[in-house]
Amino acid sequence: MKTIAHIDADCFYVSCERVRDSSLCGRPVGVLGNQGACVIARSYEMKERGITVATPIWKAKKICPDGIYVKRDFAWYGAVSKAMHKVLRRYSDVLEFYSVDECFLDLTGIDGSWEEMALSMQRDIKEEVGIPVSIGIAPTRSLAKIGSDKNKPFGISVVDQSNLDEFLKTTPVEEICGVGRRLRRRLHSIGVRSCLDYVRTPRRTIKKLLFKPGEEVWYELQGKSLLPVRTVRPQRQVVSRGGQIPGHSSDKNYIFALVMRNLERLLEALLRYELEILKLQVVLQKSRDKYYSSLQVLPDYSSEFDVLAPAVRKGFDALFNLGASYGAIHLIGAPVRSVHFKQLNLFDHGDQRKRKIYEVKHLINAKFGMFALRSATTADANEIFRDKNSDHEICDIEGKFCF
Amino acid sequence: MCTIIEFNILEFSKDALVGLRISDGQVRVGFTDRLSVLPVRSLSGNCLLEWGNKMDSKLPRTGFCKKESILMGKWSWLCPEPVEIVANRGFSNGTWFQIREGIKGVKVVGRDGKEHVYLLTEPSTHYFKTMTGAVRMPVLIGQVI
Repeated sequence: MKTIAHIDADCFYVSCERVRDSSLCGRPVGVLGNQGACVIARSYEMKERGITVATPIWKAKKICPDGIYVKRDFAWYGAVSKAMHKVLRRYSDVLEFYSVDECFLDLTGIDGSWEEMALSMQRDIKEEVGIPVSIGIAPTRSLAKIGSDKNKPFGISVVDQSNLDEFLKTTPVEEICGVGRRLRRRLHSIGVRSCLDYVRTPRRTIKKLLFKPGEEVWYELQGKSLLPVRTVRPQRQVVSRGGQIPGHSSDKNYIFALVMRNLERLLEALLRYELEILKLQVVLQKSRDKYYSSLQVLPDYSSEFDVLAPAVRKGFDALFNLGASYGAIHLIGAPVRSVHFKQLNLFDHGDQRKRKIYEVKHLINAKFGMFALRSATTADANEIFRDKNSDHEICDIEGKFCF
Repeated sequence: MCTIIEFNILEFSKDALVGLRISDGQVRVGFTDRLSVLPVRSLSGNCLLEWGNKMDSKLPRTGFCKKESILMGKWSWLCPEPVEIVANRGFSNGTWFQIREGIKGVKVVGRDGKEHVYLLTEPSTHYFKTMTGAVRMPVLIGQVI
């Protein structure tokens, strides 16, 4: 029988901040997002006061005036996440980097008590990395994930056949990963309120409502493992980079500099994942539901600045309206292909000089920081580059499976 | 602006902190407090110096010094010296924010020979402005908010 552990860090961003500033321990702390406008993570002390994720800062200050608000630092959170994995790999090499604060571990075939193992993992991570984690151990990943959520913070849940029915009975159906408000309503309408109701519902009904993923979970909740712990991320279908424009802007040069900054980040990602793209979509967003996009088809699959930059310029010029104010930009590259599947050209071997320049740029940036050496087209956004915290976004944390 | 700061009690001896607000191992000092001092890091050890000026007729009557005015030489007649202010937290416009290493400041000597420290400020970044609503922010050491 399979044994899968789900390790979920408790209020991860706040815990990471507490690792390097112990004076934050025991106090209400909120981590703010990219613009400093919303709380994206909060400590349990702040949660108790009623502050939820995405609470605007002006509201959070009213509810919790003594709260300490911290600017996000994704490079640091990525480093802490890796340190957590290093500890966990001592228990098993089969580790799935699910998200920055969560991972799955396949413990199948390892002897010993599950409770003791979970306690030992929890203790090791707390002592060596400094963050509290909750752990769920079960025969399937769906049960393990629900289990780790159940006893938060710093809790342990062990689910096996002996306590499975009781566990399912006491778990509301919305605890299942992927069941949101709409699905919950639909499930409630057919009388499915707990996970036990879910597994007692005919498989066909579940499949009709929730399709194949729902059916897989139906099996998993019964202790039949279908979803494996994946150590290698499935190849990306799309590589994208982008983000909000601080405070909205109508300055063409500034917005273009931000677009080029995101192109540099996109190229860095393509280089890291060893991918090339054929089409590039430039998106300029005015408001939440008002956006304009331009699709540029490249001459061939490419991951080179000299090929992508003119395409971005063309797309940007086609979209930009003088006087209009924009709030966000996105660059989306698709379809993607691995650089290793490239058909070699008999006649054209590319520009060796340019390739050398890219290599040198990459080496310098790897040593001195992501944008230490960058294109001069980004010069109009120098203020953004002053802030090293903004260099890394959550999507720049390498290797994780989901956001 | 940053009108209140907090620093760790362990940075100073108990005697030095008499009269200051202390809770949860942190010392809290506001510019408008009756006893308004700033903890300054120095090679010979940390010391508490008066925060800006409220009485001295020679010195500017404020607790803050604009970075731009220092660069323009408007303070040069006072022979200001750069100092590092020890703090873990600052309070600006109703928001507590985290300070990692400290805040930059300038030290000047008053008519009576007493040393005064002014907190160095600069125009707020977009992030700080969104977070606190303040148009000016303290110049932090090794950190940009």
